Amino acid sequence: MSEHKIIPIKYYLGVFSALVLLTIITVYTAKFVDLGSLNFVLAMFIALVKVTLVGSIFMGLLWEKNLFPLIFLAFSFIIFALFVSVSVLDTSSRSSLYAIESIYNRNDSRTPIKIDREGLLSENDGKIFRPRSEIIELKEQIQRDGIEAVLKEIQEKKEAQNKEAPE
Amino acid sequence: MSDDTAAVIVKSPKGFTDHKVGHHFQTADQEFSSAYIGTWLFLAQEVLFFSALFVAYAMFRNLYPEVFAYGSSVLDWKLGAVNTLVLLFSSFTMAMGIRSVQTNKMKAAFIFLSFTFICGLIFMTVKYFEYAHKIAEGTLPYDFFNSEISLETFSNVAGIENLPLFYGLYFVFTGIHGIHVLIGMGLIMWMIVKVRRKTLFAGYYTPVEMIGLYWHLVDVVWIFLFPLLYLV
Repeated sequence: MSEHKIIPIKYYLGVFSALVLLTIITVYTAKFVDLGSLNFVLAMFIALVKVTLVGSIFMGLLWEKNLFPLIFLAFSFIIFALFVSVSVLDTSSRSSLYAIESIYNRNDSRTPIKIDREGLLSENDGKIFRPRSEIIELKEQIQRDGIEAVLKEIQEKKEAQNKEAPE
Repeated sequence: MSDDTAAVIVKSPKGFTDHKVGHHFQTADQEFSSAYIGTWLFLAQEVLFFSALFVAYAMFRNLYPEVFAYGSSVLDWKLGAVNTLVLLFSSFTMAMGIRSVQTNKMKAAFIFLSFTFICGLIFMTVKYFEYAHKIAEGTLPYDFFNSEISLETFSNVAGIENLPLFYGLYFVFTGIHGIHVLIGMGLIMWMIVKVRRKTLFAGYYTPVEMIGLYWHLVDVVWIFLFPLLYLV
């Protein structure tokens, strides 16, 4: 393997100590420093730096003349970015589709049972979310009393819950 | 033409077994680059394979941020941090092991590869204790979730009834990663045997280099998993 360089040990030692240091920084900033949503960005940035170090030194891409690894990786990461960005765009803009997101009286409105503008109830198959009987009951209630009455009742329940909850 | 069909032999130092280049390759270099490109194609596929799980994570975290914040605060980040350091060290010993083979230092290669294997073993042992703890507490995915305690105590967390979703992601993510570690350990054991039998040397180290690349990728996946599941 004529073009394959033997990489000096100091590179491996340096990268290993850098990785340990970066791990300590990740844990410290995530657990003991509150930066709000920046915590997530910082943790991901540090992870990216660590991965770059592993890829370029441990995997030897820094000295590699063969371009195939980089082409394959670029392909993978472009597709990966596409997957994540499209999915996140979807989930973060979905709420506007529904008149009421939750039939439940939590302050938060992101439970998976949803009533759309037409008054139709969509349900998640997973049993963990809500008992099926409750969903069927609500469907019947909507058919009996009409969507407006049901929405109003839910709204009142929510407001009552909000009053009870300490500020 | 008969000369062309004769096998290419990579001569080894005294005491080692010569490497016979596969009959479908013209030179040792060609054989190495084929394995190299194939391995990277496989690694690119692995990235895409794990990307499905990362997408699931991104979507559900976006839908239920409070649940994920609560879920990761319940996981023991100290065990996660120990496992991170163990895997980083194993990556280092793997790189050193390959380097030792490249420089014909077989004793060092044996020690470094053994350390890598032991690190994988430590990683899986820690994982075993984490899993046992979760199974005992009933914090399991989907219908297996039977921990009433955490749901009642933290009923003020919005959407806490979706907590099993977090554990679903946790178990699938770490489980698939764990299977990769186990496969890697098996491959490293194979390399240790090869080093003992002296079939790897400076002129022929293709398998150990490729397994090293795979092992580093497993490490790379964990570098992202650790903060995503345990910290943020």
